[in-house]
This record gives sequence, C-alpha cells and structure tokens, in this order.
Amino acid sequence: MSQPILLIAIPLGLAFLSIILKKIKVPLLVLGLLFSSMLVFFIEKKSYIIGGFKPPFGINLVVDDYNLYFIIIVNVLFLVLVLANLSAVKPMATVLLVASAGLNGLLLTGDLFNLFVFIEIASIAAFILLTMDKQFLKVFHYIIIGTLASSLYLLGIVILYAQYGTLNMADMSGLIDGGSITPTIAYLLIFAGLAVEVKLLPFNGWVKGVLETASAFTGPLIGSLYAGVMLVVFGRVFGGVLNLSGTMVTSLTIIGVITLLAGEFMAFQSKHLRQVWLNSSIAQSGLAVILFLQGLHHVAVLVIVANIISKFVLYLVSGKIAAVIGHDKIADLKGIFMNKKALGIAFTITSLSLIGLPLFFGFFVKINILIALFQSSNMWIPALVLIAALIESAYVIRLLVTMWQVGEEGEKPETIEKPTFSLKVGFVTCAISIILGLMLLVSGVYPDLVINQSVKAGNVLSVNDEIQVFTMEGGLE
Amino acid sequence: MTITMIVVGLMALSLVTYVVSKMSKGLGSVLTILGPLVALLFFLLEGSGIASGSSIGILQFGATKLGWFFSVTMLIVYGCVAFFNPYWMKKLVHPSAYNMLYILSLAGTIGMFFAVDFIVLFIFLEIAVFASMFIIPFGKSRNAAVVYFAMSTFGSFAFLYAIFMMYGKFGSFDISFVLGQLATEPTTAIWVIILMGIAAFVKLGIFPFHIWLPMAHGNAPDTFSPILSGGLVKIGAFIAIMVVAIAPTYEVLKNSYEVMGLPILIYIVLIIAAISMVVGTLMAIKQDDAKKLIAYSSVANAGYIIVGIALNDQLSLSGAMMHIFAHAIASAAAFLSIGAVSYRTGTTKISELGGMIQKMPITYTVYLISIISMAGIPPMAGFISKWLLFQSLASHGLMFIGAAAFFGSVGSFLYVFRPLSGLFLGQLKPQHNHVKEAPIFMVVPMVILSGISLFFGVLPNGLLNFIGKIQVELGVEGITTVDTAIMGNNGLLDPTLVFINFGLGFVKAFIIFMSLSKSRKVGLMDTYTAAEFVYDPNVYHYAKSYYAPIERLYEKHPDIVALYKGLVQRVVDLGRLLQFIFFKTKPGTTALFIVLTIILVLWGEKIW
Amino acid sequence: MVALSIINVLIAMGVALFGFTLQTSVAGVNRKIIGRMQKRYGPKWYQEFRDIFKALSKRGITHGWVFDFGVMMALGGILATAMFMPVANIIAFEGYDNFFIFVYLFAVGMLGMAMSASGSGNPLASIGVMRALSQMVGYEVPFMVVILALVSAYNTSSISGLVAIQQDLGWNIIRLPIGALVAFICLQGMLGKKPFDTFIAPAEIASGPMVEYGGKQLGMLFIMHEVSVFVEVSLFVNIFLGGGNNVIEFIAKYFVVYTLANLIANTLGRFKIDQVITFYYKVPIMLALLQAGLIIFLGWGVN
Repeated sequence: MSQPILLIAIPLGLAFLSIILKKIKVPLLVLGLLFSSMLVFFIEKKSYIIGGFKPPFGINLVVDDYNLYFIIIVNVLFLVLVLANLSAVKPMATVLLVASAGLNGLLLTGDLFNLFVFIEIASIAAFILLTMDKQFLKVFHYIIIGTLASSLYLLGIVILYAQYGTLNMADMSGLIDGGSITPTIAYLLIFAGLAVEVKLLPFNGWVKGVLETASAFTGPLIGSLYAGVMLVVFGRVFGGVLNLSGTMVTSLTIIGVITLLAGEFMAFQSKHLRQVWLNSSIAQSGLAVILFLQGLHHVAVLVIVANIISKFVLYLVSGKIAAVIGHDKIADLKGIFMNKKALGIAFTITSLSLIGLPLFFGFFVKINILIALFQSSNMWIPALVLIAALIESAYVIRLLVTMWQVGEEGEKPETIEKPTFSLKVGFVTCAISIILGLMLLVSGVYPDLVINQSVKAGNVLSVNDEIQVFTMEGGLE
Repeated sequence: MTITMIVVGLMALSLVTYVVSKMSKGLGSVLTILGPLVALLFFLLEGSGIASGSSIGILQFGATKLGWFFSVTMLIVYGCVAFFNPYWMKKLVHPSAYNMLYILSLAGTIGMFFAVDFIVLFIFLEIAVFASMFIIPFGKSRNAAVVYFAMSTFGSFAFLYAIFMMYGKFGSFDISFVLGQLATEPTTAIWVIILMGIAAFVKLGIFPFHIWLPMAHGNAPDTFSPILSGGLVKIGAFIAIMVVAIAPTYEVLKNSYEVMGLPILIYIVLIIAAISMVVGTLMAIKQDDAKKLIAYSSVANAGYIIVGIALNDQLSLSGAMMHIFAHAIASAAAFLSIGAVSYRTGTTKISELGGMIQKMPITYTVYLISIISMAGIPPMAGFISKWLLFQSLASHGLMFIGAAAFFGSVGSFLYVFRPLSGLFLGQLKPQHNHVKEAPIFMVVPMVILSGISLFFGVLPNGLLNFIGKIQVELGVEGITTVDTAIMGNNGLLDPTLVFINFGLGFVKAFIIFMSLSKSRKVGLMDTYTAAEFVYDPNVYHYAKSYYAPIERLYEKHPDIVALYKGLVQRVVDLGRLLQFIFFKTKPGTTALFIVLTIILVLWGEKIW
Repeated sequence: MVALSIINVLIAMGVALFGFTLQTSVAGVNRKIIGRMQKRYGPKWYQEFRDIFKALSKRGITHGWVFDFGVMMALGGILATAMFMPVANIIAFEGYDNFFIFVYLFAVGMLGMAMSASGSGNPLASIGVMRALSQMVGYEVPFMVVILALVSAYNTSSISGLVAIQQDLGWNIIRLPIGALVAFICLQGMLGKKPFDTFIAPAEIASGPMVEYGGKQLGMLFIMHEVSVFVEVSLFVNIFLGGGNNVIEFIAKYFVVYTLANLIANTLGRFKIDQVITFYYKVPIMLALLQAGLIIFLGWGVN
C-alpha cells in the first residue's frame, strides 16, 4: 500500500530536483501533482509512523475519514488549477511543489509541532506565490501577520507541551479529556494563530490586500485551497484535540458570529467581484468556525467542502474576467456572460449553490446546518445564520443579474442591443468550471454520498450517535 | 398519472424545453404551452382524488383537495399565458432560458402544493421563486429582480426558521403531524404562526412587504407579469391557509386577549390586511403605468384574501378561496390584455396610449370583463367572493376592517377605470393608426380566461361546492348552496338570478335602443370643444394624472420604499465601516486587534 | 333559480317601471316646487316625461359601438337593480334583495355609463367621469359602514328583512339618528345634488359625462338616471324609514325624502371635487364609525 508520506516527500523532492533541472521544471511539477492526485486514491485509513519511533514520541501522519476526504479534493483541485494556468506557473513551479507538500502536510500531520512546521512551509510558499500579483506591500503585510500568527501558535503549543509533555494530537486529546486544568491562555494563543489563517475578524487584516487583486491562479489557490485546508486544520485542532468548554466556547463563537455577519455586510457593499468573494470567504470561514466550536463537526465539514468547490470556481472565473477585461468592477461587467453562456452557467450554478438554493449542493448544506443547530437547541445562531444568508442572497443575485443582463434600468427588452463582445476565456477554464458546477448540481440532486461521508468525517473528531442529517434518500437519519 | 410523475415530468420538461429552444425558439415556446395544458388535462381527468404516486427519495406528495384547487388555478393561468410566449421569443434577450424557467417555476409551484413534508415544500417554493426571479430581469428592470428575490428570501427564511422551530420541538418535518402537534406547545406555536404569517405576507405582497409587486410585476416581461400576479403571489395564500386553517391557530390563540371576539393576533393581521387594501388602492389610483397599476391592485386584493383566510369561518374562507381563483383569472386576463396592447404598440403607459378600442376591440372586451371581476361587480366571479367576504365581515361586526374593505372596493372602480378610459377609450393617437388586433393565438387564451370569469360569476356553485369540500377537509364548515343560490350568514345570493335580471334589463335597453331611430356615426374628433378648433388627437385626450384631484390629497404620503432604501444603505454603511476599520494596510493595526482580542477574551474568562 | 318564475319576473319589471314613473313624476313635481321657491312658475309636473320622450325621438349622433353599448349596459344594469327593490309589500325576489347586490349591480350601470361617456372621445366627458368616480369614493364608504353595522346587528342583509325588522322595532331613523343623518348626506352625494353636484354640474359648465349625448342615447340615460334615483331614494326609505305598509305610504315617504334632498340642494353652493372627498372623510365617516360603534359595541338602538 502506498505511504501518505509520499504526498509530502515526492513534491518536496521534485522541488529540489526542479531547481537543478530548470528546463523541465514544469513537467516535473505536473508529474508531481499528477502522482499525488493518483496516490490519494490508494491511501489506507490508519495512523502512519514515521522514522521508527512510536507515537507520541515519533512524528506520525494520520489518515482517517476526516482528512482523506480533503486530501483527495485538495490534491485533485491543485492539479486542475495548475493545468488551467499552465502558462502562468512556469516561474513558480518549484514553489508550487513546496506549497503542495505544505498543504498535504497540514492535512496529514498528527502532531501539533509538525503542524507548525507545515504552516510555515505552506505560508512561505504562499508569500512567494502571491508576489506574482505584484502587490508587494500587501504581501509584506501578510508576511508580518502570518509570522506573528505562527509565533502565537508556537507559543501556545509550547505552553501545552510544558503542561502535558506531548505534542501528539491523539495523545494530547486523551490527556486533556482526563486532566482537570484548562490552559486557557494556550488555547487562546493557538486560536489566534489559526484565526489569522482562517481569516476570522479581527485577525484578517491581510486578506483584502492579498485577495482583491488575486489572479485566476492565486485566487483559487489562496481563496479556496489554502482557506479550506486551514479550516480543516482548525477543525482538527479545536474539534479533535483541544476540548473547549464554558465561556471560552461562547466568546469564540461570538467572534465567529461577528465574522460571519461582518463578512456578509462587507461583501454586500463591495463593488468589485473579487472583493465580494473574499468577504464572502471570510463569512463562510466564520460559519465553519462557529459550527466547529459548537461541536457540529459534520456540518462544518460540509461547509468547508462546499466552500472549497464553489470558491474555486468563483475565484477562477473572476480572475479570468479581471485578466481579460482589465478590472473587475461589477457595474462595468454588464451582460458579460451573454456570449459566453457555458462559463456563465457554471458561474451561476456555483453562486446559487453558495447561497443555498435548492437543486444545488448548497441547499443541503444549509438545511443540515439548521438541523444540527436546532438539534443542539440553538435559537440565536440559526437566526443569525439566516440573516447572513439573506444578505448573501441579495448581493449574489444582484451580481448574477448584472452579469447576465444588459440594458439600462427601465429599458424595454426589445430595444436592448445584445453585446457583440465575447469574453475570451480559455477552454480549460470553462471545462473546469462546468465540471465543478455539474458536481454541485449532481450533489444537489443526490447529496447522500457527500453527506454520509461528512458524517463519518465528523465522527472522527468526536463521536456523536444522535446526528441527524437530511439527505435525498430517506430524509432524516 | 400521479402527482409525482407530473411534477418530475415538468421538471424534466424544463430541461427538454431548454434544449429544444436552443434548436428552435418557436418549438420550445410551444412546449411551454403544451406542458401546463397537458398537466391541467391530467388533473382534470383524474379529479381531486388524483393518485399521489410513489415517493422518490424525499420527494413525496400527497393529494389534497386544497392542493388540487391551487394547482388547477395555477395551471389554467400558466396554460393560458403560455400562448403569449411564442410572440415574445424575438423580444427576449434569453429566450431559451425564459422557456426553461417558465416551466421550472410551474413545476415548483405544483410540487409545493402537494408536498407532505416541510422541506419538500420549501424546496419547491424556492425553485418557484428563483425560477421566476431569473425571468424578471428579462423585462424592463434589473433591480426589480434583486428586490423581489431579497424580499422573497426574507419570507422564505422566516418560513424556514419556523419549520426548524417545529422540527426542534417535534423532531419531524411532516406537515400534518407537526402542525397537529402545535397546540401542545403554545409558545413555539405563536412564533411559528408569526413567522409563517410573515412568509405568507411577503409572497402575497401584503403591506409593508408589498414593494416588490409593482417593481416585479410592472417590469417583468409582459408575458410573465400575468404569471406573477395571477399565479405566483397565490403561493402566499396557500401558506396563509396552511397557517390559519391547517395549523390549529385558533386553538393556540384561544387564551389570548380578544378584540371583537377575535384573538388579538388575528385582529392585528386583519388590520395589516386592511392597510394593504387601502395602500394598494391609493397607490393603484395614481399609477400611470397600467402594469404597475394592476400590480398595486394585487396588493389590495391580497388584503381581501388575507382577511378571508384569517377569519377562517364558513363564509370567509370560501370567499377567500373564491377570491384567489377569481383574482388569479381576472388579473391574468387584465395583464394579458395590457400585454397584447404592449405587443402591438410597445408601451404600457396609459398617457402614451388612447383609443385602442378602435383597433383592438376584443382585447378591450377582455380587459373590461377582467376589471369587472377585479372590482367585484356582477356578473363576474369577483363579485361572488366579495359578497362572501362582506357577509363574513358584517356578521363579525368588523366595522374598521369593513370600512377599509369598502374603500378598497370602491377605490377599485377608480383604478380599473383609469386604463379603460385612458388606454382603451378616448382619442386614438395617429401613430397607432396602423395597429391591428392582437394575433389570434393571443386572443384565444384571453377570451378563455374571460369566459372563465363570466362562467363562475354566473354559475359559481360547482366551484363553491368543491370549495366547501376543501373547507371540510380543513376542518371548517363547508359553504352551502341551494340550486343556484349561495347561503350567506345573513342573506342569500343567487348569481344566476342576478345575471338573468341583468340580461333582461339589457335586453329591454337593447329593444328600446333598436326601436328608436338610428344615430348618425361621427368620428371621435367630431365632438363638442367649446368653440375651440382642436385638430390634434394627441392633445385631445384625457389620460395624464387622471385622478389629479384625488392624487393631490395624498401626494405627500410617506414612501415605504425610502424605508427599505435606508435599511439597505445602513447595511452598506456598516460594511464600509467594518472594511475601513479592519482592512488597513498597516500590519500594526491588525497586530493590535489580535492582541486586544486575546486580552478581551481572557478578561472574559476571568470575570465570568 | 329558486325565485325565478314568470310571475316574479313580471312583478320585477313592474317594480322597475313603477320606479321610473314614480321618480319621473316626483322629479317633475319637484321642479315645480323649486320653481315656486325661486318665485318662478315652474314647468308642468310631467315635464320630465316630455324631456325624455323628446330626446328619445330625436335622431342623434354616435361615436362608435362602445358609446351605444355603454348606454345599453347602463340602462340594463340599473333596470336590473331596480327589479330587486322591494316597494312596500311588493317584493319580486323575496330573500334575494341583498344590500350588496344593490351596491354592486348598481355599479354595472355606472360603469356602463362611464364607459360610454369616455368612449365618446371627448376629454371633457372623461373628466366628468373622473369626478363622478372620485365622488363615489367619498359617499360609498360612510354609507356602507352604517349599513354594515345594521346588517351585523339585525343579522340580515336583505332589504325586505330590514324593513320587516323596523315594523317590529320602529323606524331606524328614530332609533339611529346618526346613521340616518350619515346615510342622508351620502344620499345627497349619490343623487348628485348640491353641494355634491360637481360631476354633472348641470347649470354652469358644458362639460361632464353628458357632454356628447343627444337623441336616444340621452333619452336612455335620462331613463337610467330616473331609475337610479329611484333605487337610491328607495334604499333610504326602506332602510331608515321602514319602507311602507302599502304603496301609498311608500310613495309618501319617497316624496318627502326626495323633496327634502332637493330643497337642501337648492339652498347650498357647490363643493369642488377634492372638497367633496375631504368632506366625506371628515364628518360623515366619523359619524358613521361612531354609529357603527354604538350599534356593535353597545347595542344602542337595535334591541
């Protein structure tokens, strides 16, 4: 059977190789990613020991229902993303291989310190990749905040290590459950460290600068893949290892709720396409964090999956539009899809899934969030989630209507001139968007596989037999 | 045919329509006609006892008389309106999408009426909403779609929250089970009733949620306005019936404070409905755009429907259901006739038209019949429903609501007459001299709808008996009829007698007219002008600010739209403020926020 | 069709014809009275008949089919309304003389006339129609609120039922003076008598709905007008004055009400149309709601 360490080792190895063999670094990149994407389908679910020492003494990688799911999604999408932007990635091939290794490491590791190492690897790769967008000052901002975040995280785990003498996640989890002291400050430092990466307000000062000018390549990478992976990590740490309770949960949930609402408010007023999506990503992160903190892991997983896929398409298409048109001011994008229907339909399906309309996957996410929240007798959070969703619906629909329709307000349909302008977006981008859109559509009509998988994933973090989910087949379980 | 097959079939048809329309727009639009008509045929052949069919996953349907009634109403409207679609294929920006969404919205509504499970109901409700929402921007306004969707989503989410409140208490989504249990949890029940009531209000366009109606109905493509007004707003009525008649609302509220023998909550609903009638009427009176005018009249008529449903007794509920049917048919016909005029002239503004009767007499007659029904004048179906509602109001002694209802009723004479006079009668504009009567396939559905209005205005008892059965199904005493007469609480009505008397009166007048010497025909410009020589028909037509003396009386009315705009502006401002505070390019600021937050949370840990 | 038989229909037609004759005569007499009041001799009491038949016999003009059709619809609708009207103990359709039928069937006639007038193509006629409709908003609501209270209290909306109740309890005008006052003010508006004659404005302006009419159309509208006045005044007589035990009593009451309205009209000036509406929404509606409140909440005057 294949070893998951290969998912980290091979890209890293190829990265070194690519420095030497500069001529074939793009083929090496594609080869490495292709290999990873194939490999993920053959990984067995268990704990892997690295270097001979048994955990908690040695470092180990864990493959279980929780991360297997995301390993597959992230690796495949990474490959897809690179293929879609093959011309743009040439100077960054080495860094991309490092990024791939970092992301896989983040998903796989079973050790809090290793997590820190991978956060650093992934972040450094991200910093370098973001320089592609030529916004150096903003990247510098990100570097400072990112470094601060990792330091806070490191400080947190240092305290934990001093307390429990281990950094292995499974081990730590057991110790914390049995222990009587709650190292609040350590929790908070770790939370702050991860919150910067998952973009919680007020920790997310870097996001706007970085993402509002992201290209069709960096956008999906940072806005979708990195964001998703960081949320998975957050879930792993706060759902599976650290056991929050009492006022801590309340305070942090409040931060999540504020993030959710503030994100939607900011997205509502945004006038630029990518600005809308970055604010919406912030809101979705807030939502996932709320759900993790409330112990509703299976729906949090659903939120992450839906968000990775939909934001991937949205950033990809928005980045391409910005590249073709030269800007992404929504008011000037009237009727942009009229002569590019296929891309438009994919974009539309994705956005409709984002706002949770039926027939699309997002609907089942929304329904299951509400079921889970009401099951845990929450009254306020679902109301706020719905308010956020309302604002989200308004701006997404406004966006879609603008992008599909031409004509001034009050102009009659028969007098409207159809634009002759055609959005020149490559076939690959279209194909990718459509395939991902179709996936959202199919899983919107038959979501059972995805939902059942997320229940399994949620159960890895904390076993809950009373979970009820709503699926197409048989309704409630 | 089972309900499941029809609903799934329609959903599949919507995709097929899209593909076919891509190949041939005309053929696709013919499919939009055939779809509803075939479905209607199945419903009529199978009757209200139509089999519900096996469930597909969660998609499970149950045949109810109520659902059948609503579906048939909806299918008649969809089927008749669809005849207009082929003529609009050239005018629309996205014809294939239009055809697809047309059928999809139909599938959504039909599915919703037969759902046995709240989630399924919600799914189909949302499908109907978003399918129709995407059609609206094909018309004149892009903003209208956003406003419609935002309002509608607000309603849907209120509904969704109510569904989940019930789920939280009773652990099920089954409609009849959950609603049946409500009486055991009065606190939850009141919240559920309020939230679902809000949903019903939003969909029906009751004040203060009415602003989307004139925007959406007034600006949608001319072929879709009749669907919105005649069909989709009636979803709200369905939800309202569900809240009041299926849920044990009166039982839940029986211990609450009472006003005029009604629970206070019901009375508040009546007051809101009364406000809708008055606001809808006043706003309709001052509209120059015929479509906006009918849209506001839908607001007023929604008030009647809500009054009937909220009172939930033998007469009022049957009146409300009759009104749902009558108004659906009449407003669809009115919108279609305006659409036909717009098809030929390209405008729906009353002041830009005039004298269309000379060119489009059949369209005029259709409009006349539909407004007679909308204003509740015999011998049309609208009269029956208004009579039933007034009977109920009178026997409850609800004088303030009654005053509003009478105002709405008399006010409706005013606003329906405005297009009649300004658009159809009066001087024909020279630029419309070439205009012809609407094409035959546009005329046919309009005439059918008018025939339905007339038929059920003269012989409503077949329908009323069926409504009586629905009432029994809902646990309300059914309306009783004797021969052609309808039994009210405090009197009888025999619409057939009224019609025959009217016929006799008309025949007498006709005989008098014919027996007298024939009049000389003169042109419309050949009129008394107080010795002024007027030669331009454009200036010799009274259509602009028609009710100026009345409009002046309330021209300084507060505008509810400003309130919503203000609300949106607050959201925008808040978003900007947040963005300004948190997204500085200074890392120091972010670092400060991080530290502050940590301190704040720690502080909380210590104190609490 | 419980009530429909040849006999009933004949009675009903008789009522309509009676109403026309009665009102036309009373109107003629009133012209005499007013004439005397103004120190004139005044026309003969049958002058109104003369006017009508003269108009009917003339060859007039027509402005198209809706111009004629509207006239027929107007007359037909009003005749149909009159056929339901109980006169003393002559009731054509017992139990079916529902108040709401009078209000709405009446509207058919009004709509017909309005349509015909607008169809003439003369904007002055449209303006007249606009005024008539605006005035309708004024007087209908207070009137119907009062009737609603009565229907609610007596639990019958049939006119003959209301008459029967008054024969037990006494006239409504005595027990419910506020309501009767409101109804009378509204009646003044319905009749188009001063101060509410803005929409016809017979004397001063050659505008108003009737501007284009002549010949048989005008004659038929005269007939329609007389019958509609009969319906309006009879409603007041039946609802507030207890109808009549016999036809003579009915005619007497009818004459008094109509003459009173006419006398008042001839001593007052005219409101502008917006003044009409504001007036109705100040005093009469308040009084109507007061009366309705007294009846519904306190049961005053109806037990």
